[in-house]
Amino acid sequence: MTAGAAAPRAVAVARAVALVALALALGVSPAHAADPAADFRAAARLYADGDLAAAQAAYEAVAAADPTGPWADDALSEAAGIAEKRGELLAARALWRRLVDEHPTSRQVRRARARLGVIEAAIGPDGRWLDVARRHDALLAEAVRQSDPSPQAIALAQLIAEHPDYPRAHDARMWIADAWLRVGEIDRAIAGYAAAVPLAPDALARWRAGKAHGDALALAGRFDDAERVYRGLYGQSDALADRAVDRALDDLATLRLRQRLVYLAWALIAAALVTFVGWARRSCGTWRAAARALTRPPLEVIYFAPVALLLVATSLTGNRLVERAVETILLGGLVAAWGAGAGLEAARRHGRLTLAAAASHVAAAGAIVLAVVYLALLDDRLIDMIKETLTHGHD
Amino acid sequence: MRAPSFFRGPGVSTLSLLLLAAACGGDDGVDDAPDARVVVVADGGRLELPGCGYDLVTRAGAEAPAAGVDALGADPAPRQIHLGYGDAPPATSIAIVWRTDEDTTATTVRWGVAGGPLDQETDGLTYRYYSGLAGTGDLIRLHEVHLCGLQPDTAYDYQVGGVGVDGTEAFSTTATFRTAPALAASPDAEVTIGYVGDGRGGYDVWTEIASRMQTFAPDLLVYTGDVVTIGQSQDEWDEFFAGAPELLRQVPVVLAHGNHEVNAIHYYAQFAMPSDEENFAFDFGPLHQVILNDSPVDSATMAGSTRDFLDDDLAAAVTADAPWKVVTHHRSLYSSSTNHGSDTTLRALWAPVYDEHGVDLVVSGHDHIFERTYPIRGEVIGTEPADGTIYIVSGGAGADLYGIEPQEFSAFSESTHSFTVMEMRRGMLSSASYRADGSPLDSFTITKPAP
Ligand SMILES: [Fe+2]
Repeated sequence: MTAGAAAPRAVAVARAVALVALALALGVSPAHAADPAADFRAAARLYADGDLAAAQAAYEAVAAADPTGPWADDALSEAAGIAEKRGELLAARALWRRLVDEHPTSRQVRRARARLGVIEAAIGPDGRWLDVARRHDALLAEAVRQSDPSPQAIALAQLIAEHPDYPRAHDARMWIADAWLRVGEIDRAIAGYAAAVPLAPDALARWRAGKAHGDALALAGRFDDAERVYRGLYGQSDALADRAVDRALDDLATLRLRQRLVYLAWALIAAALVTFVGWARRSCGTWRAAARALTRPPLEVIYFAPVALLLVATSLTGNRLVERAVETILLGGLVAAWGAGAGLEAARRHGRLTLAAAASHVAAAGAIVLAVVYLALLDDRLIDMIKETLTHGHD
Repeated sequence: MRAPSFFRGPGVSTLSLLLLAAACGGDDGVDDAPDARVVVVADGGRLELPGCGYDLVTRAGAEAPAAGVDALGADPAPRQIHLGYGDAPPATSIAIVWRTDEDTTATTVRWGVAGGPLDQETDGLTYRYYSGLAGTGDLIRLHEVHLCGLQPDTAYDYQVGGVGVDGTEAFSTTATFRTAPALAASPDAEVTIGYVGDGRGGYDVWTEIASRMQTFAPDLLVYTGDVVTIGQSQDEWDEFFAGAPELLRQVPVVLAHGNHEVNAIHYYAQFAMPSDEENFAFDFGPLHQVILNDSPVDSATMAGSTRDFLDDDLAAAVTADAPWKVVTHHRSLYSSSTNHGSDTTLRALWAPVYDEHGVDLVVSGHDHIFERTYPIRGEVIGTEPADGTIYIVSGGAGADLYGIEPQEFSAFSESTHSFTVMEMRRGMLSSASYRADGSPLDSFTITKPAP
């Protein structure tokens, strides 16, 4: 299905030359231009085989063979589209222009006009940026379906640095920043968006780049910087854009709160573990005895472990986010049961099972459970999925 | 498009009168006026569209449609102008919808073949709907004109608006649409279809995607659902229209209902779509496009009337020799997203029908990612297009992105904002997907021997 690797270039060119020659021959004696439909389909087959150069030549031959016939406009359009894909922007521009001039009522004219706009914006009216635009497009094409577009991002950054006046510099900078974000290079992404802002061609593009910059800062946990960037966006575009900033600031407030709760969750877990160890030390008298008591699995764990295993097995069949959450919660439960159980067991054995000991173990175990549940819910924003389900119903 | 085999349009529910009492100004010394009571029957209704021979149907929450009457309100400038279809084929018809202030009732389209004078005039219908929850909130005034009997594959210029009682005119600037090619007359015509979905809450991304899509000049836009986060939130609908004014007044849009639309009146009132606007199909050149609602009010219909409609429609499409069969609904039968993932319940209901009738592509959304599967038939993963249906998740029009853990059916996936443009012609379908920034994301070509 996917267009495969191009046939060897020499074969493609030979085919193209043969087809052009055929077209010229047909042009000389139109009586033989019997089946443009078949020629058109033959060109389509070349395209489907991934033989782009030959396909473009074959489509051009169809248009040349019968310039006013019913296949000419579609053939020009296909040839122009392929020329664009091949980075032959001047040829593409000429073909699209021919389509507009020679077939003004064709259904392809709207696309021809749109593509002419794109090409002219890319290479400049005098074609000055042709080479840079070709290298730019080639790098983007090279990055398609690459899990790591870093080499292309570096090369594109270099290209833009060499040509600071290139009209698509803003687009290129945005692509580079997005690429860094995709591979998790958040600081480079932040720098990329910041660099794209001043290159924006209009107010909306400038606003969008600023918003992406703020989003990346928020993602990196640099909430104060994100807030400053977001606030600077007010009034840059229209009222709806301002509302999007309102929403971004609301989201930022939620992120801030969540981060505070994450710190609290880890503090609770640490405090609970200290409680277990401290009470074991107090009950056993020495650190060595406390360590021995805490490493022996208590009764609770022996009951809990098979239940935990069963639940993990169950979770494997469900949603992958839920699965991870169940695993995290069970792991936390195991730690809580172990710590509390071993500590209390030690206290009982040494005759120090006081109300205070029991209460603090229960509180510590409860704290771990709460904290672990919260951390599990934040993983990959499971909490948002659940919130959405509660607000808007099942999925 | 062929007439679906099931009951068309919603039933008219029991009449409910919604009384909105406008409080009288109570300034001292101002003469007492009688209470101004606005009585709006928002139970829906139907009325025949001039020149088309079928009815415009509105649902509960909206008024019954009425013929436009020459009258302009204080702010009659047409806005949110967009295109769609009624029950006539896209090759010979278009539906034009726009919004004005509440008091403007004049509803006229001036039109003509592109490049010539706007020498034709067609009047249409108008109605209001409640923009809040369950019959509350502001009343939104919509106008709808359908043009039927047009020439296939022809560009037309048009203006929308109306004339006031004093002869004042309030028309939009001129825009252009083009009718679909008729397969019988031009069996080799090419159409370009844009697929996109799940823009909710991502106004900035949606505006960028809409402007990027314009550079590919699609003939038709198919939206995979979840335009908004809350179906009754008019602010969000306004963002959708504000993000793509140029695209929407040139390119007709049909939508699959997403779960976030919650079957709100806003969804059904604002768009012109065939049949009951939930489950329908039409031919657009070489494309036979089916749209299904996978979150209907009564979920039992998915296994009942919807599945029957799908089966009947695809059976008819096979005999009608439509070269490309594409089905669009919101939830994904195959998805590697860590959020919703594959909807195996829905897969059990509908995938056997896709398999039986050789559906080429299923384009859905719901998971905010881009994904393309290998061809699949009977849950068996193949390699060649002839091996089954390719499933595409196109849910990246702006909503916050979801994570991915690629499954064995996945040919390509990326957690990114995206849109997809497909060029379809008898014998060949070329699909290209792009990120919101316009950079290439994925592409594939399917060929079929010409019949
Ligand atoms: Fe959804």
